[in-house]
Amino acid sequence: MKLSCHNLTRKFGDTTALNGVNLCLDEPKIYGLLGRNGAGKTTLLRLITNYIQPTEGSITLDEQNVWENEKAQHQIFLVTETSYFAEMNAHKLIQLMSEIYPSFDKQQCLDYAKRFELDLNKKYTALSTGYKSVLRAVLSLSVHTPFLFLDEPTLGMDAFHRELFYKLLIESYSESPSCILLSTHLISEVEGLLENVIILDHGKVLIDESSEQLLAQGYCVSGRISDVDDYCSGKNVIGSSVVGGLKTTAILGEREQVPDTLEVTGLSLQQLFVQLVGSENPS
Amino acid sequence: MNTATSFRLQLKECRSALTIYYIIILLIFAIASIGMSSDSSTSGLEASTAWFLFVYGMNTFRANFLFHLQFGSTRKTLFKGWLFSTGTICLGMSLINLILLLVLSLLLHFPIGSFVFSIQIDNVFLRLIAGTVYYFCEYLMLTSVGYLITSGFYRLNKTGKWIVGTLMGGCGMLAIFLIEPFESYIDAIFLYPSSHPFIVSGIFLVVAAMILSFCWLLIRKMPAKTA
Repeated sequence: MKLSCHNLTRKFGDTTALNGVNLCLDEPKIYGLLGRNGAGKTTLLRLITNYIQPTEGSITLDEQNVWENEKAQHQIFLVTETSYFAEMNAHKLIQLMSEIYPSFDKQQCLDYAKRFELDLNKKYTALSTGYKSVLRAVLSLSVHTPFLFLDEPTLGMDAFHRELFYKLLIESYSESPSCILLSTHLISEVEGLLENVIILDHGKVLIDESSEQLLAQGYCVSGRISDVDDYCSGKNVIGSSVVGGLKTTAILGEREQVPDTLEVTGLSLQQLFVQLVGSENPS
Repeated sequence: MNTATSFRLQLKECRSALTIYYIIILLIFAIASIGMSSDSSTSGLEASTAWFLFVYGMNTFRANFLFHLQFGSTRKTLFKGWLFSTGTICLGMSLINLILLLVLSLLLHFPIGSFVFSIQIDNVFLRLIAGTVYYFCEYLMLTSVGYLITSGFYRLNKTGKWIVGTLMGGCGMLAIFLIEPFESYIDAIFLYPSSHPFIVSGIFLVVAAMILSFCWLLIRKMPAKTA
């Protein structure tokens, strides 16, 4: 299945939330949808899932327009902070999900809920912010639709639940690979999960490539402050940190001969992201 | 979510409200015969059902809309499901009211007036059918008005809500003053259904169809609001 966005534009009054976005999601992969606040991430997800209509452009699933297309929409499942599950408790939601989505694994969902210690009898609206996210997470991890969109899935979850969520995400993905789009600000937490990275900036796609390729664009060196400074002179430095007498610097560009006194490590996605979208005005 | 699931869910949603409503109605009947008179051509039961369904119409849009979108459903399915569930509820309440009315008036000899008794049709069975059809059409129209108000307000922005709200309130107040000299005509309008129940039912149905068409025009491209 191939989900494509063609020249997608969405305006809200004078504000252009998305501007001519072209995107294609076709392989079972874990995609990261990254961007600063207001970059257009949630708007993109809401456009794909029939919540709002594009001002210009179209979204197709296997050449079929997804707008008001129930068949296409049943191939996609989106959970966001604003997901509406009415006054239903987890039991009823699980039952409903199994009726609507043939691929939904009810037993798996109940198992996941048990691992998260989720109270299945409590109404969605009565759950704490963290447990609302847990309920959304267990439903989404068990739905097994070809496209799964997770918008800030760990919002309000404690560290234990976040760890468990990432573990179960991998487990569920290995069991039935699908196209998972993970939109989050916690880049350092999801960095290891992402196979592809899409970065939105001011409503436009800035980056759409594999994590491996993206992170190969730079590297980090660490060592004594004077040694690092000597090595970095004339290079494109995108960030530095000093702890005691030890300095770590991230450099963008091809790796050159590094002296033995310095240690070389890979670039982190967060460092690269901050560098790419850190400017105040659109590039 | 297909239309059948949508219909079932939307019907289920109002189950508890309906139960509470009829418990209250029965309690009122049991405790006292407030405002009930066998001379009246309308009863508290029929009028309160009309208000109940108007409010029901106003409360069934936003939550169902967001819920349907969450489960990959379309606006068309939502609207079809709503139409079927509302039709079922209107018909069900018309029948329940009729049964209650007959049991209370004819079997228990409880003094209760109703439009059904004032319909000018000699054949009792046909009169009951006319009464049920009349109430079904009236209830459907009032529920549609409620639905139109909520869906219209949902679509409007904050300024629009203020303008339309003020205009609606102002027009209502103005109408009260303007219709005063035409009281006799109003009375005639109110009495007309008892002589021509099917004609009035037809008018209600056409008005309901017009309102529902307008609702659909509002809903079919309606964006979901997050706040």
